[in-house]
Amino acid sequence: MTPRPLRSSLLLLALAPALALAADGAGSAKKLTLVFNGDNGGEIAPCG
Amino acid sequence: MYVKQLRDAGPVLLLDAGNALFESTFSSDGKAKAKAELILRVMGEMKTAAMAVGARDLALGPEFLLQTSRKVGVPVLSANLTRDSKPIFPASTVVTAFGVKVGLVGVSPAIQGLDRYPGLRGEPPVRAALAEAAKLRGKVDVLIALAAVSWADALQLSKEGAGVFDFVIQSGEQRGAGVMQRNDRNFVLSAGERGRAVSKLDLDLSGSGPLVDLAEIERDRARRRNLEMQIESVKQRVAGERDPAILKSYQQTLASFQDQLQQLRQNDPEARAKGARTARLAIQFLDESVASDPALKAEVDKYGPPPAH
Repeated sequence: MTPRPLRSSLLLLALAPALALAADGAGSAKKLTLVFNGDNGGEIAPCG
Repeated sequence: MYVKQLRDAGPVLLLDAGNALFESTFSSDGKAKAKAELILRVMGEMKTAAMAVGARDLALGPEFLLQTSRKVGVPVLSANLTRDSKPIFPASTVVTAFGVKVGLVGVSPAIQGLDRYPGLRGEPPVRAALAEAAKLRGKVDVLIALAAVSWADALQLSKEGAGVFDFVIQSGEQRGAGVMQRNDRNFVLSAGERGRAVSKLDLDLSGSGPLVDLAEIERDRARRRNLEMQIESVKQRVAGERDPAILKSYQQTLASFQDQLQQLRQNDPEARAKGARTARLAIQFLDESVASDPALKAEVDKYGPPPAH
């Protein structure tokens, strides 16, 4: 197997932190779904 | 099952605005107690992040609620319920969910004292909620009042809490789900009634500035399209009309439509949404279209027919 050229290895190393950030979702959109109810007054829906 | 499906699809935080446990403030027989325990247990199993204390959660007194909720792991909040002038429940909590810091303040109704539970008081709710919110503002991405108070009190909280609370989720008047009213800088939402529906509020907090309701943007967009079509239609009538009286009437109508369109364009709702924090509300009715958990259904059936099916 041909060894990876040094220059491209360095490039990958330089990019590594950015790639890691992208992979774990850090810096991505802050999205959240709130699911709520209230006033159920002692009722419970088993499908909830 | 509905919540599980949502959780499988993306980041979800489950909340309850209170008045969850009893049919009335006087339901205190053995059956009502067992049902309240079941509801709290299931809320714990569903990992409810917080619940506010409403008047209909206190039928068996604050001690029952405190002990049972602790046992099943449901955080119960109230900024204004006191016993002998001391807080009974934590006023607020901060939950970090999927990288989003959510501040939650519980608000209970004003209570002047209950015969069965002397010393119990609900202090003025708006003042207590604002005082608690002031401690959290700036430390969270979104600040929510779980408000088991009247709609009027929820509106007052929204008004006085503009720039503090992002959402006031109200329970206590059985208004049904689906109302999302924008006030100056925040929204008041009705939480639902009798377990018939679940509200789903999709938040994108990546932007900055006041929250924008995406449904409101869509309504404005549809209104603008409609006005443009109407203007085109009136213009065609003007071009083909020879009667001066009718022509004058068309021209007045055209001027009115053009004025409305100009106002909509000046408001430019789509521009407001760019780079803003956004919200979109959807309602899921818990009818036959939503699958039930068979084991839970068997338990619930012991207490009579469920609310919606």
